[in-house]
Amino acid sequence: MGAALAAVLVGWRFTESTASQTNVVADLVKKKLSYLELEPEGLRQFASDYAIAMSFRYELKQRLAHPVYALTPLLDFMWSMEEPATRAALTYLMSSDFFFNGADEARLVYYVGLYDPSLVTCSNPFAKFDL
Amino acid sequence: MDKPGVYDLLVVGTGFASSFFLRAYLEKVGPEARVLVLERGRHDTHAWQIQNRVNTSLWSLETYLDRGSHKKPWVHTLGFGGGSNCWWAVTPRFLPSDFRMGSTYGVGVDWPLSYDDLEPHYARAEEWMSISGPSDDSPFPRSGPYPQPPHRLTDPDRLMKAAFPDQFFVSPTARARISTPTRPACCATGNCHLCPVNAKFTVQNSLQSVYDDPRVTLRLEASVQAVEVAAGLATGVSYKIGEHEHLAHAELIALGANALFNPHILLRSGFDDPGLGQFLDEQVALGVTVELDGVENFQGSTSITGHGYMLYDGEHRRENSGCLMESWNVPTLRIERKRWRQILRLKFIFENLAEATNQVRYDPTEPDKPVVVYAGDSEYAKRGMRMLEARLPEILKSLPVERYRFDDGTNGTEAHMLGTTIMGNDPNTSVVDRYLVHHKVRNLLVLGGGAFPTMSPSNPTLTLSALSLWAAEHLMA
Repeated sequence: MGAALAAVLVGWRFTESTASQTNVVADLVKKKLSYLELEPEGLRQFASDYAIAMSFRYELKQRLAHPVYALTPLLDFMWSMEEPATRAALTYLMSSDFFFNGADEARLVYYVGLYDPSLVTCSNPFAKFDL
Repeated sequence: MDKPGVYDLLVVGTGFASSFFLRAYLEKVGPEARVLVLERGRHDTHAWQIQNRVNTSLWSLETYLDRGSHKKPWVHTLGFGGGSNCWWAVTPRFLPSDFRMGSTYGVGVDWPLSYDDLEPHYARAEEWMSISGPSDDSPFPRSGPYPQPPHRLTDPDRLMKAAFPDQFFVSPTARARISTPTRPACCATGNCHLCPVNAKFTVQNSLQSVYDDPRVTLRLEASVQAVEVAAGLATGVSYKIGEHEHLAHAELIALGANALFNPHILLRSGFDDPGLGQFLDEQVALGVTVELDGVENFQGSTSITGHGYMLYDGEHRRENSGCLMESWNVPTLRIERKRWRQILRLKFIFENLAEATNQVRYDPTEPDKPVVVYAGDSEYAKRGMRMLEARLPEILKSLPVERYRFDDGTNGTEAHMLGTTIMGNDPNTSVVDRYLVHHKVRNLLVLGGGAFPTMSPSNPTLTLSALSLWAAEHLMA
């Protein structure tokens, strides 16, 4: 009973404000890309851009689960937690200089700009054009 | 205002079918010719589309009424340039067998023209669109090379090409491989419906000169109400702009709206041809995600790089739909460390077998909106999809496949509306003849994919564009 109440209290802090959604997105990216060093200011900016552009919003169940999911692998079996985390992390990778730098895991990764092919032209880092 | 008197030609619509017909017509007529073009939509420029992230200021799904047992979107673009604004510029030709499904496989009917009849018009349409395609081989006979060099294949494409040299090809496309006077080269952004660099062929970026021709008057936001007929000939078209009604007279009328609006205009005009409005359908597609082991993807130079014909043609089409495979080069990564690019998206496009009960109808109580009655994909297409499930491992044999999974359900639409004004030699079973001329009203043409008697697994745009050139050549001969 006490543990459940604690989870609710912890989860409740994730309100629907932009700031809290930004924190959630940043947590998700850090969890999925824990093997990379992500430049912190850029990560915050990405999380804010992403939360706004994608209208990112956690349901109550996700809010409650988030503290445990973000810090431990205990809830990795939950598709409702894994799917948004994977999507955010992959978008971050495409929005960063990671692939443009040869996917070098030893380099600090910088956010470049939210990956949006409809607005950012020629943003595919893998395309080759030799005839 | 309409010019007084009678136009030589009145064209309805500004998409592929209309624009290709009009350009061919203008090449043949003299400087005194007078043409009126009526376009229902607005001129939403490329810059406007990019800024607003949509292709049109008119929402297509609100332009018709869906009263069928199977709900699905019939997507189209209303506006100057029509479907050329939103298309992904995939331009395979049909195979010769697509024109004779009835006699070859006992399925559907034969077209009233052959691949050989259309070949020179295919070549001309490809020239006008500056198509990039395979340089050394192709699945269909060609009288000459493609205008542009081929796009670059991905590494998984190359493995499939090695395994299926006669069945896997570089995808032909109107996404420029090298720049043209009006389009830059494609840079593989992967957002072709709103190409940010304007690299794909559109009417706006490549056929604007047709509408700037002093012989042509273009009226936007003109909603055609009816074709006027007297003594067996079309005499003109009534249309509305806002609440104002207009009547324009013409010697020749070409309907090039689409497979919803062309039959609706005719039905509202009182035409009662056998088959009018019937056989509405389109292809249906199924997506597959393949996770690879050790092969990286996405090195191609455009969004869709390869076409697979392994399940397209053959005796299986007697029983089930053929299908065309597309290999996609739009980065959709996987999350596993160091395996981000070891993934492949394939799309399998199946031909449907159109039923007469799938229809566009006219309801006098809702006179401005076509009524769509559609019962769902044909059993023929469903059997084709089941065939794919059985044969996919064989298709993927050249790839180091870790696992694959089908999408949940089919794509909602291919945005390829076909049928409803089909062509044929028999006026009792078709609406227009082999030259897209109405069987009874001989100065009326009905252009576009509505004329297709069967649909093929291939994207229809190149074929319907070539058909407009074929029709224009016959008319002007």
